[in-house]
Amino acid sequence: MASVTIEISNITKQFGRYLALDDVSLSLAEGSLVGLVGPNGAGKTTLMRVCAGVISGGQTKAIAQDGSTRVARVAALFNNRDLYDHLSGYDNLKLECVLQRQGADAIARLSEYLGLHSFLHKKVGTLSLGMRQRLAFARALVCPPDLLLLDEPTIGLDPAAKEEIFHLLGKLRDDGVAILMSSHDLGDLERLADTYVLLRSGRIIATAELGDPSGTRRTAIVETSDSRAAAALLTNSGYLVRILPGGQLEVRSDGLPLKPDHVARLLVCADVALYHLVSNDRSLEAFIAANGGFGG
Amino acid sequence: MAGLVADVRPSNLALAGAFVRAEFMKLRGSLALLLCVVAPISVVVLNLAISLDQDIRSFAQFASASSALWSFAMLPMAVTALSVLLTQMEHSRLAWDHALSHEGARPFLYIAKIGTAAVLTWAMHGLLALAMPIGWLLLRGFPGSDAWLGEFATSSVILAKMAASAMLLVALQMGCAILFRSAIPPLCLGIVGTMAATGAVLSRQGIYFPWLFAINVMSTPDRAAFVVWFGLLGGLAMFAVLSTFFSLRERN
Repeated sequence: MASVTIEISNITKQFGRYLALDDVSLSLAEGSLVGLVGPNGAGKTTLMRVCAGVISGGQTKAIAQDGSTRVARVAALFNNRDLYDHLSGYDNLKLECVLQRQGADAIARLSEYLGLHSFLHKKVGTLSLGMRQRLAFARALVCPPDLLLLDEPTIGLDPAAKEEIFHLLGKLRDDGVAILMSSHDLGDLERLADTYVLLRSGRIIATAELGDPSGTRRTAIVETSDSRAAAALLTNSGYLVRILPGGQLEVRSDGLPLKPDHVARLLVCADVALYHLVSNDRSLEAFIAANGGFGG
Repeated sequence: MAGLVADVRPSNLALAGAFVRAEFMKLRGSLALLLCVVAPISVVVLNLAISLDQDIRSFAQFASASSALWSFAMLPMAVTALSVLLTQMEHSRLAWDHALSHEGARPFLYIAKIGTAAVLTWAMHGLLALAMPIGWLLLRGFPGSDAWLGEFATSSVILAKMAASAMLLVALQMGCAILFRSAIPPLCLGIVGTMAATGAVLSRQGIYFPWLFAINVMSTPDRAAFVVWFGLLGGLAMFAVLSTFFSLRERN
């Protein structure tokens, strides 16, 4: 299958005198996940509504490698409350199949793909939030999309349900679906996104990719058997160390890339037991702060 | 995944059919459907209770009393409740965005929504037409002659005219119910309309009040003809206006 790039170009949306989106353009590669961040009212949901065709303002195009262009197939997941509680999961999907003019065999395909068997025939009103979210994903995927729009997809989910959704997003990306996801949970986006887009007052303020110089690969959080000894050791080795309230250490490398294996080796060689080490190598918070923050 | 589907633009008829079918699928196990069954049957049950200690000698009398109860009180209330229940399926779940993200959702989603309310209103009249002979049977037992069959046909025609005259009322209620996210405005409209109808029923201008169209079907032939045509054509015109308005409207 030829590689496809999704182009969202020059989207401007005005509600009365209020300019909600001002000439927003984005490009998403096949299988990429772009994280959309910004304060409330920045225009994230409006951008998604325009892309999904809910409101006018622009069109999303799929551009193939050979340059041919067509209207992109866009699926959206705005919230998981919009399933019909009085219907079963199966009936909700069947209803979507009717609206998308797909055969009922799509339900079997999605049930297999997303593991819906155990609750597919239960009434949606009786399902847990995680199950509802999987069902909402299934509904969004009834017609295989080029671009999937996710507006706060992990809100209200417990860690286990989040893991399921992350796993699913990985599968979708492997299958070539480009994903545009907004979330106020920066940790989720840090874990998932290849590219971040900061939206403020309807405008794209900045974008950053992983490995971009504006990303910070300079911090690690370390948990050891002896915080004080570890802090002294790392400080003597040239790191900037701060002991956090929980006894963990925040280790910085003063502008240079931080090498987690070096930190680990230093500690282990000094007989300090290392319980946990997380390299905070893509700080979305730092990216947002560097671009004026949410308040800007 | 994306490569599996061909780009084929469906016809408008196919799109409209899909939305209508989806609306009817949503009714399965819904309160809206329950209302459509309970409302007409409760009128017959109420009339049956009233008729137990009265000297009702013909089916025509029984049908006339049921139709009056229906048109004056139950129909406006049922249409009010129906409009709220049908639209709250989307409003309460913030589901309009998802619904509108489908190809052709403007204007077919709104046409299907309002059309479903109209069809269900006709269905309630049909159910009432069928429930009345059953009520009569429970009240007086099997009739000795076939005379009631003619009266049944007459009462059915009256109910059909009532359904036609109620189309403007359905359109008004549905317009209000779609327009506002809250259920309060359509409920207020329905309650105020029904209450105002009790005051307006004796006035000469009452014939122009949509909440009184159905009861006027049982009035003089010229008044009946006026409300049937005004209600039906006015309703169709209002359907067209509302569908266009909602298709063009974009929520912030």
